[in-house]
Amino acid sequence: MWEVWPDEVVVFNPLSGETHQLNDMAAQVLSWLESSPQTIESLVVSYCDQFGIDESDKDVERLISGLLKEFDDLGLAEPVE
Amino acid sequence: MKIGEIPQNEIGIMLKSPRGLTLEVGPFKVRVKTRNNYFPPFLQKLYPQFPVLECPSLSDFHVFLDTPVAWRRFIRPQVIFRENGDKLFEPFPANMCGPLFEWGWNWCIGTRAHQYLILHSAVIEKNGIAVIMPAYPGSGKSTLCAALMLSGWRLLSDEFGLIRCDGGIDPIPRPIPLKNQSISVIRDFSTDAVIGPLFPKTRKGTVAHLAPTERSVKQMKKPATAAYIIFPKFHPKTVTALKPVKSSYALMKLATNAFNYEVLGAEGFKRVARLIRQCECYNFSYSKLEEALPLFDSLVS
Repeated sequence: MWEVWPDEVVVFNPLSGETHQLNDMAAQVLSWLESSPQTIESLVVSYCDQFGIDESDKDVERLISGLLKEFDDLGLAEPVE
Repeated sequence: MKIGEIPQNEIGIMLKSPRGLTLEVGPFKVRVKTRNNYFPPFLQKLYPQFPVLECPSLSDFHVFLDTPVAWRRFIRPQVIFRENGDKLFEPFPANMCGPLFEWGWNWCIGTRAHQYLILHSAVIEKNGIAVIMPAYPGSGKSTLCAALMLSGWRLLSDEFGLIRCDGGIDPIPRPIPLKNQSISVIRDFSTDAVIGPLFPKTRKGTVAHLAPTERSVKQMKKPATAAYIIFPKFHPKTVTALKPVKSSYALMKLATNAFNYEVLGAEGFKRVARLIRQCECYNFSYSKLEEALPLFDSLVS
């Protein structure tokens, strides 16, 4: 469940009962994952495309990988085979 | 019939009877039984406007302010809070029966009334506009709430924001517990303040209760709609200021402030989110009541 304002997002995870305040990047990545499963590579491409960032920027991949781990830890997303 | 219309000795007889005395406070009916002699004057001083139900069909809470064992009636007498027969807390000295009733009943509401999202907050209303003031230790919430009530605001509650599924707030205008310096501040603030006995050396220091105003009790069946969520913070050297806070910050703060947010799950999130959507949210710092009150009035004028 999402509550969205112009530059703020809060999500409620009904499985854990926890509420999370997300930054822009986390909110964007989680919304893509909510629509369909994604690879890290496809998330990096989508993110760089959306915000006009060079795809070779390794920081984006590092940040998205970190986010996915956090989502997994929090039960917001999980890896699929 | 109201508590204040019944002679004190009759209140004592009702409390001692097998049926007890059933008090209606906001949406709740509480049946109380006790032989404690300190309780009737406490009830009469602080709940005079509240109705006593003569033939209640159902009560929400069954409170028995019990005496532990026979010899405790004579040597350091004590009182025990029982709800539905269960002993919930350690015994208190018998003269602390009033505060024990207040704290024990708070516990019952906070842990049972899950038809509501229960915010730990004060709620006050003026001109049809309610303000929610979530409670945090040392925030000065009760003092501010008491001063607002004595200045013409309607008290919905000093302790609980009872948020219904439709977003309305049900009142439960019980006495306001004042602590330490707040007692003299409010006594000096208004000659209309009806303050009960002092209870020194509690875990919260000296406590005394302020009776709700007649208007607050008369309208205890009238729900209100909040337009503001204000997080107060008292500091003796601060400047009085109202600063907007982000909605996401307010939502997280309100969710962690609720007694039963986790119990309600998704429904709790929906109710908090709805409140945030309908309210303007502020941090409020203040040091002087005479500066705080006009600012609150300006919000609802």
